[in-house]
Amino acid sequence: MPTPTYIPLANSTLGSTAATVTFSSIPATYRDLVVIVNGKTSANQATGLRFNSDSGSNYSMVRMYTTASSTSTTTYGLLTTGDPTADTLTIAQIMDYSATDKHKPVLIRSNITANNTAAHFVRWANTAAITTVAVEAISTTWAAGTTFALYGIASTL
Amino acid sequence: MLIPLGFLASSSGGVDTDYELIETNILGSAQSSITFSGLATYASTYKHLQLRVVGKTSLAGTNFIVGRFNSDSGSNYRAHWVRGNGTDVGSSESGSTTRFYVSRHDTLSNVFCPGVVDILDAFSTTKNKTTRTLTGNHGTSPNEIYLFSGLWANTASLTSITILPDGGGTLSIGSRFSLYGIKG
Repeated sequence: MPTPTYIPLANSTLGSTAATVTFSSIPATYRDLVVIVNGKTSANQATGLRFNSDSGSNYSMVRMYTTASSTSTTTYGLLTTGDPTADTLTIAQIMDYSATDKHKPVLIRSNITANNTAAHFVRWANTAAITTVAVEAISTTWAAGTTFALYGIASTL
Repeated sequence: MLIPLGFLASSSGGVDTDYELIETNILGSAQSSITFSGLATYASTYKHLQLRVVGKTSLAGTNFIVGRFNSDSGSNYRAHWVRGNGTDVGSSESGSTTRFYVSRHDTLSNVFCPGVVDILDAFSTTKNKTTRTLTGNHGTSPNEIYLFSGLWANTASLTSITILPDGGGTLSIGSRFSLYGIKG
């Protein structure tokens, strides 16, 4: 018997600027999480994900965007480069987020209205189950009106 | 800004949606392949399918996990891809081939690779089947992100999907394969 899935867990629209939006107390009930962010930042700076308050250099990434590609290991999982003049839509698939036998893989697609489309893979080098997801504007802030949504994808029948 | 999940997070069931879990297979032992079978059952319910995979194989070096439809192992597939490797972006195609692409594979311990595969019009009998796959790895070089398109040159309605390592070996313990149906 199929199980209804893709459950909305939380959503928020910023009434004022904020550096970070954090989804906390995430239950281990689901298989994957999907984070969707749509909006602007106050400056052209990176935005990223941090799990379980980990700000160590534990996020490895490979990315392709327009005609370029980059790779890094840094203190956050890159979402996109924010833009103060145009909305950026980003969808991040956090796979097997509650598994304790794997590093956490994340697939990200982002579109910057002004000039860019990108796809990333991020690996959080930690086997702990994810219980919090912080969506951060690195060295800047998310603009008022930016929306954040978290969905859970079903785990079992 | 902190958004604690509470009431909303507890409502995991009893919600009518158009995106439904059909089956999940998490390997408790290594397998040469896994198969989602009996898919004809869902032909009247769903329009599209989605595979969500977090996988690993016994193969040395980076490689792929691949799939086949309806047990067809003939050269009836084609793939195109865009690939970023940390240095540049490239594109290529497979020519006639024997599979569609599901996910990357990585040899590092605890590193499993994700793949999200959209299978469009899975039960149509008037269209060849198309797939779209996003996958990547960062662990064992080369570290790469791929966006694939795939074609199965067959208008048959899907009855099965077989997933296996590309080039022999086995799928590893802990690998997860989930199939979802999408109504249209």
